[in-house]
Amino acid sequence: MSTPSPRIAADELSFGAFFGSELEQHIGAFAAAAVRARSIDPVTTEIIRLRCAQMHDCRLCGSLRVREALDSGFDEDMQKKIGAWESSDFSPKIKAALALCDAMIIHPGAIDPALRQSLSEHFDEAQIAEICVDVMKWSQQKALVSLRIEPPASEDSLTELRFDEAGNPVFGEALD
Amino acid sequence: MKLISPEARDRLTRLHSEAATELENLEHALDDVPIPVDLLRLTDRFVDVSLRGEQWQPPESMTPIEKACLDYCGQFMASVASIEDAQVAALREHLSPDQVYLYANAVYLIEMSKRLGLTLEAVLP
Repeated sequence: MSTPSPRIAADELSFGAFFGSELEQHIGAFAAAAVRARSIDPVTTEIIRLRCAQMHDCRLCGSLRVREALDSGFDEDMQKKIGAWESSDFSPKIKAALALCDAMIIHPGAIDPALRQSLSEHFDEAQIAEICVDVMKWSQQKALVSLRIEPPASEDSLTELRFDEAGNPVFGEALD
Repeated sequence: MKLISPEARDRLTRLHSEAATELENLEHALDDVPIPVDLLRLTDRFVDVSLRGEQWQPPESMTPIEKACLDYCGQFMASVASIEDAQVAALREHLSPDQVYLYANAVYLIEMSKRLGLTLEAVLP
């Protein structure tokens, strides 16, 4: 897998813009708030996260696995099904969550009314809102992808991702 | 700059109050980004019209920087992985590296907030 050339070099950015701006800090605060919400189970959340990674071509995001999801039963067979989820044997509940994710990313101005009914069969209103907020959070890397300055993904292994109590990411060890 | 409708904000506040608070903070932070406010407002209108599936009517005469921004923004929305080097290079002809980086984050914020708002309106009572 080749690594695209950055469209802005790191040394061209001043600290106040990159990692230091008020906008950057608030994007991080929104992301942490999204992670702290816990009404959706970790496996469904991980599947949504990886769907966003696919849609946005975020190689780093796709190379991470959230520890809590692994501990709750997420495995690589599930990961392989995400790209063609509609024809997969995912449960109707997970398919409804993925349909919501895709609708938000592809064409939120023309959402099929049937999706609302489908979602209501599996999720309460707070859970539906949480999935939507998650999709926004898991799309955060789009800005970096567009400039090809996202952190590099490991070439040959997956990496563990945890979150601290505040909802901030903590990158862990390579996974076997 | 308000990024979602009052109806969508009401739903978000009722169901995910922390996210609603942080989104409001983001809207305030966007007002202070050192990028010409007219560019951000043009981007906001373009994203809103595009996501609603309406026909975009560009201003009668757009400046080169406005064209570069909307060209980048349109590709960002359609397929971020397909943005070309030339589209970012066009931004760099008019904006500093810091401004390009902040504009990319602003586009993310504007686009995904509007997607969030439209989706909340469509799938929640």
